[in-house]
Amino acid sequence: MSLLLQSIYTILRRGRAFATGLLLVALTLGGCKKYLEVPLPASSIAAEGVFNNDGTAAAALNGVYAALYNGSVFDYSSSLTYTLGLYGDELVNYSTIFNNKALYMDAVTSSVSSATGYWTYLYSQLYAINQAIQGIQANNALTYKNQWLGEAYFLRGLAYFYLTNLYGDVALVLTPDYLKNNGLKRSPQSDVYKQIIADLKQAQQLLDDDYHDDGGAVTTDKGRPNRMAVDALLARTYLYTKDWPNAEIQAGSVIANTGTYQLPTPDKVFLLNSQEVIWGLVPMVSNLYSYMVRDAAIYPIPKGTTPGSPYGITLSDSLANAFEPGDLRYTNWIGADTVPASGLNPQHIYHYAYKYKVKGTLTAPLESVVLFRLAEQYLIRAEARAQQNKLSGGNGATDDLNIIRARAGLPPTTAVSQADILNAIQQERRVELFCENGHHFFDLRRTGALDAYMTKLVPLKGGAGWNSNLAYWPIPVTDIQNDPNLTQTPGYQ
Amino acid sequence: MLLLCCCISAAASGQGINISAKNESLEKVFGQLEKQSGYTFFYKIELVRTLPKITVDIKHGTLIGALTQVLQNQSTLTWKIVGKTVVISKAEAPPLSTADQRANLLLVTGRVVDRDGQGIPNVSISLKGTQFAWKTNPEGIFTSALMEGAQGPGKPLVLAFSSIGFAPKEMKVDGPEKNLIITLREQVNTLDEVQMTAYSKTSKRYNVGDITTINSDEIARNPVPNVLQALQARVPGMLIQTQTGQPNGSFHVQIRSLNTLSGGAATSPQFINNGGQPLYIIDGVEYPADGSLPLAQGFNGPQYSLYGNALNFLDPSQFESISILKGPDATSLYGSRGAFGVILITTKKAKGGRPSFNLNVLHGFSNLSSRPKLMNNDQYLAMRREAFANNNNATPGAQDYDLNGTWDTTKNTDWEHYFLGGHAPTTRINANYSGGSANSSYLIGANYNSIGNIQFSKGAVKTGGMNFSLNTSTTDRKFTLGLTGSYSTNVDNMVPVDYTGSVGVLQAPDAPDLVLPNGKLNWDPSLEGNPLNMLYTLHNSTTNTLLANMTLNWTPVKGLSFIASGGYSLISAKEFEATPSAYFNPATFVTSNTRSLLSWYTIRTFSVDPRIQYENVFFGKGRLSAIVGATLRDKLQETTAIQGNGIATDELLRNPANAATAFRIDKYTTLPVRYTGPFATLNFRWADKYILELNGRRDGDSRFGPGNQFGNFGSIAGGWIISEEPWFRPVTGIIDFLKIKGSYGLTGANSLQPYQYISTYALNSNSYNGGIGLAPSNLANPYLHWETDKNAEAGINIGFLKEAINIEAIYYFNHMDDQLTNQSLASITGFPSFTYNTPARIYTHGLELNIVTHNIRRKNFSWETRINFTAPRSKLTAYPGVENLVSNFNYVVGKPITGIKLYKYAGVDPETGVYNFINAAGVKGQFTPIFSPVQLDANKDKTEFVDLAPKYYGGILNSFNYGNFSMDFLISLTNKMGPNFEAYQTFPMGVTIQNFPEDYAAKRWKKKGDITTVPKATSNILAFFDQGNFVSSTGAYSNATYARLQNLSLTYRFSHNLIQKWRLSGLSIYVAGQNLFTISKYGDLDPENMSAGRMPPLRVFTGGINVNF
Repeated sequence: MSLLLQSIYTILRRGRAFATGLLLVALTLGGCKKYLEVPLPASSIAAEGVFNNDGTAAAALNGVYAALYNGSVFDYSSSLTYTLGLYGDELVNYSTIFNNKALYMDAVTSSVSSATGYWTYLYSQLYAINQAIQGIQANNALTYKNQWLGEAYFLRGLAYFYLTNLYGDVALVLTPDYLKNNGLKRSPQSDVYKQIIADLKQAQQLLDDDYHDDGGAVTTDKGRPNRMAVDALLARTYLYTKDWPNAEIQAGSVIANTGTYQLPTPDKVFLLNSQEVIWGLVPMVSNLYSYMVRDAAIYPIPKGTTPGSPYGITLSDSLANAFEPGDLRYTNWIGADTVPASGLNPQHIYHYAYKYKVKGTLTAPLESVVLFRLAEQYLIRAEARAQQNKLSGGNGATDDLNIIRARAGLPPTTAVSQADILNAIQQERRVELFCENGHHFFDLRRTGALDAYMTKLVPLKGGAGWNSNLAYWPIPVTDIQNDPNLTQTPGYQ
Repeated sequence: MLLLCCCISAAASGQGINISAKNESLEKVFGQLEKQSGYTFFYKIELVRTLPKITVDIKHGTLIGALTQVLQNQSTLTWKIVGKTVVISKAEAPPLSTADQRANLLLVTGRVVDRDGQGIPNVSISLKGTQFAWKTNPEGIFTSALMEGAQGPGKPLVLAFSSIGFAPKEMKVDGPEKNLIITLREQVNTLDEVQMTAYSKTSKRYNVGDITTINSDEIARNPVPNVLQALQARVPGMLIQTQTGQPNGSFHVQIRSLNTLSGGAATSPQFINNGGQPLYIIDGVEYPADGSLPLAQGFNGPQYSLYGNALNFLDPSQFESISILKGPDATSLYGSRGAFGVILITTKKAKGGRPSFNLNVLHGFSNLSSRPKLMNNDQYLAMRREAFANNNNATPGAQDYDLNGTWDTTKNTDWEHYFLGGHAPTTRINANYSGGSANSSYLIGANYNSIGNIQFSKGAVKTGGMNFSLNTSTTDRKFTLGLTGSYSTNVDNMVPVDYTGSVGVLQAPDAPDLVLPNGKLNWDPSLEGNPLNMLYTLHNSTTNTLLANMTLNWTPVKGLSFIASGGYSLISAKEFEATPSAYFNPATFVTSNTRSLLSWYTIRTFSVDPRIQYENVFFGKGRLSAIVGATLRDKLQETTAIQGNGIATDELLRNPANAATAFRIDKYTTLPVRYTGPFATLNFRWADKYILELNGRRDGDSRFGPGNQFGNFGSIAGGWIISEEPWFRPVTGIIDFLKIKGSYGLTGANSLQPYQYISTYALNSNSYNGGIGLAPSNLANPYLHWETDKNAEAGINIGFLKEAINIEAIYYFNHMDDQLTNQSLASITGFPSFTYNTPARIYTHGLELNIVTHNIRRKNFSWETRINFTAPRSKLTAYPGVENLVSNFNYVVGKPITGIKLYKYAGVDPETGVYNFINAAGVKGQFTPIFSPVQLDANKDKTEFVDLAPKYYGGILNSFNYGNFSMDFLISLTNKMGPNFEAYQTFPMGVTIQNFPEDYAAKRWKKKGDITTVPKATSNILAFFDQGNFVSSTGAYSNATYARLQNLSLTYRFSHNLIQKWRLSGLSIYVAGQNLFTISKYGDLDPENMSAGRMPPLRVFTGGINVNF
């Protein structure tokens, strides 16, 4: 101990700055709470601040739009067009990619990520959407609160529309509370549709007829949804739920806007902000094919090329043959590649979807990923009217049908009976809306034709067979393992 | 004649001699005179001891006056002054001729130091062939006066130095020497091997914790670029596995049993759990070798280096020693940072002494060690034809190019050899120059290292660096300053590809050549791409690493030190990667395909560790050592990237900014982590028998939210050296040393990413329609808090037969609660997981064994064996659910956390040749998904549990010394289960154009009644359903137990005579090899990295030369 005292004495006597400094540092370092407060990383912002102003609130919604484009839900090689096209009857697979083969042979399991991926992806967007709804609702200081909230409700309706059409009964996640959501079970499809309709009605209240940009200003750019886009989705929802009068009303509401929406010639339909577009995603800079609707790169086959990697798909012959002679849509929207005979193989014509044509290095978008367009609304109204037995005349189904046929350069329909008109509408939908996010597959299912159709088709595609459970896709196994109440889609256990 | 010299060097005092002695012995008076005069006294001790005590009083006297006065009554003594020495002798003896003495006495002064340059007290110094002997003082300083010709006329004088715990050393003396520095190496005496602890060092004898130290000699035997490879199989309780044989690749390190869920559960088929990585400290500064580097590593296919490892950038020749700290006592001073073990690296320090230069040059090559032998073309085509026959006699389709006539079926290319058959040259050069005087010393080192690639590829990894160490002290050695630094540059311009995982290796043997006769790539559509296009990728990554450390030590009085050490480490890297037009198939190439990526990252850490150290001896028997201090650590990781797409021409590719603004993606991220806390430690030793150690620490970490930042941790440890007890004596001779030790500690782990406690939004990489996009980047958990980790261990050290056999056994057990883990969530929540404190409890325990035997210790031949063995176990003892959260599927209460649940594989159906499984109900069948009426349920039918962690592992190191030869070989042994080749296959054999291992294919089912585990070849694509079940079954896992000749080195040291003739001080030549030979029943994959898609650890052969000037 004396040594210790002696040393303290030494320090006091001969104390150098070093020793005292060291002591001070050692004594103060210990409980320094202030030091532990680190700044936020340069690349992120705290969530509380996001919905406090219009700029970041709009940016949070931009995040969802960008994700829907980049995540390839509506464009590119894992889009619904691609996967449902292979799974149904629109596309033929030539690639050796496992996912594509499995889809084409209608042999999906929960390990086929092309089938289960939308589940994960759309729910991750729903988290962002639910955060936005909660955040925007809580902030009264926003100048364009209604616009942002309306967009968020519309996006939620859109996400659930595709979720329920891909997976049947789905979990209804309506808040961002992950601890609660992790125990949700699947809600019946009817409840999901109720929720979609409720959300869209909210959106109708909040949005107006003008298009707005992300600064809130009115614009002619159709990159963000307006009230007509909500009507269009609502019309489609009523059609799928067989609520014919409401489907007619909502579709009619869009069609009545003749100042904004008209049917241009087929070659102009998919151009950016064309008269026909109600809402479409605007392509942006991406790792590949910037500002380009990427379908333009993966469907067309270069002249003389046999399908295979990287041109792994063609249009099915049955679809190419479904067009009537003289159909302008055939000449405008379908491409063909003739491969001359070689060796054992005779000459063959391969067709491809050619709705999107602009390919190459772009510096600004020229086409948009069209998600809602006027022609579909005519066809919805035609079907709704036909179902209500309003077959022809002033407000008849054939009127709407013939408007679409006339644009395609075809004579008026010859169908007269309700059944024939309904069939004519389905045929028209097939050739009008092909390769636009799975319309035909959904149409077959909602009209009850799917099982019979696929039972014949699957063996032709080399698959093992069809059963009615295959109408909906499986969900990821990890979800069933992680949420005690979630069940696998029937038939995929 | 016994002559003892008492020698203490002291500065001569200009004040004159002042002695006031009352009844003092002559010895003491001489001592005083020596001190005051600066002269050395030289006399026979027994001559003086018998003489009566004297009383003198001298003031301001001269030495001669004083001597005359002191010896005036001593008629038996006479004295002479020779140079700086006073020689006292018997009066009747023939007086030493003054002239003779002047000619014959050589004065030699110097300092004896250990490898760290610390003075060694009480070193015995003797003049060989005589009885002359001296000892060093507490600072290691000695003065000896040597009589020329003492070893016989004309024979040179040789001083011999010896001390307990150090290897003896001899030194020839040619003339008078001042400031001689003699460095003694720690002796092979196992118990006194130095072991580094958190802030000081100890020996195996007194250590009560669990520490293994590997020194530079052992590291130098391994011709490898990463020091982790040199540690493989040498450390009990530490498992190191190479993830990839690629240069600059990554490693998996696990200390003791895995006891955290933070790395996630076992996944099929590859098991890598990066949770619970140890802390790496280099000279006091944290070094980011504990995780993957933030490499951008390209947009092209496989992550070829698997995100690397920061130790790849530091040449192992810079390191003096590496200590692995395990368990509560050893690690608790590092608090939460050391929860998963600490790896303490000490770089080579300046020692002083004569300038010396050491050069080491090594050259050799590496090649592929193990890969499956694939079928040749005949075997392959027969298998494919059989596959079609088995599929209802189907005919090859348009895409079956190997059979339908598209390809030349007479071709037979060994694609594995084509892609991976190269010999990669490797060269390593390192040199250092060191020297200095007693008060300051320096060391300057340089190194260069180059490794090529075994692949059909180009480029190499080259590392070069310099390091230095400076030490200086005041003359009284009360204040010392040490500075170390190193800077190195690693340049990697290899093609960023691992062909092991490329489809190319498994191509059909009849596939066409990849390069056309005109030298261009073959883009035939039937090839579906060309794997050689990777060769056109432009890639260059340069990593600069800077390490600097400064330590100030002030010892105002003996035993008390104020120490301030601070360090800085900076890794800064630049990566460039681009795909020019030649990379793409010209048929489909558009400019927008080209990409160019430039990215930078820096990881900067600085730490300050001020502390006060106190050491004292109480009542002669008690030794106390205490440290009070604090740590401040600040780490910042920054990454920046700029990517440009669609660059107009290849010439512009070098700069991604040449892309139009619209095609550029720029990124910048920062990740700061701060950490601070005070600590205290106390070590008390009584009578060298009883040892008690207490550690305490309060940690604060910025990764936790407000209110949860601080945690208190500590440990207690004790040891009892039973062999020191008097009653133990009778056994001595059989058991010479026996110690038992134990410790208990409470610590908290925090393997956690920053910012998990707050909810954040991040900018989407792409904007939408001209505006920015934001997306939620995490699920926040504000309640995150420290894990609690209760650790205990008990150990025993026994030395038998004069310590010819030393055994250390440690048994550890640990309970870990409040596991910080990524709790997986259903994706309907929007995120796959979030971080929270799982109430799961993990119990781990295990045995570590370290045996050192000196089998033969002769003058010309010695044989030593070192065996280490570890048997780690873990068990999940509880995993309560919280509301809606479900534990990970593969976690089973009562089972290890490193296991995986699997279906039970029942072999191949002898009737149909397809996979059969047994479900939970005990029913055997094919259970094809979708199509079978009964299918396997992933939740219920996975009845089997396979633990993928090793059951045991260890190493046996044998060292032989025979004359000038020495040989070392290390055999590693690991017992574990792992995924086999088939586990990596999406399709069973025959479905696609893909080759399979010959031995596997030979076992396939061919006809009814065949009993085998390999199914029939089939071309039916639907077989993938069954393959999906198979990879999740026990059939996809095999016993991967293996023994490997990890390292072999053979050295020849040239004899002294030759070396002296060549004017060198050392010369040796050696050959060394790594990963030379493996015995395993595992089969087609390498049992260490167990991967079909990653390069196995390479086999290395080298030869080298080591010169000392």
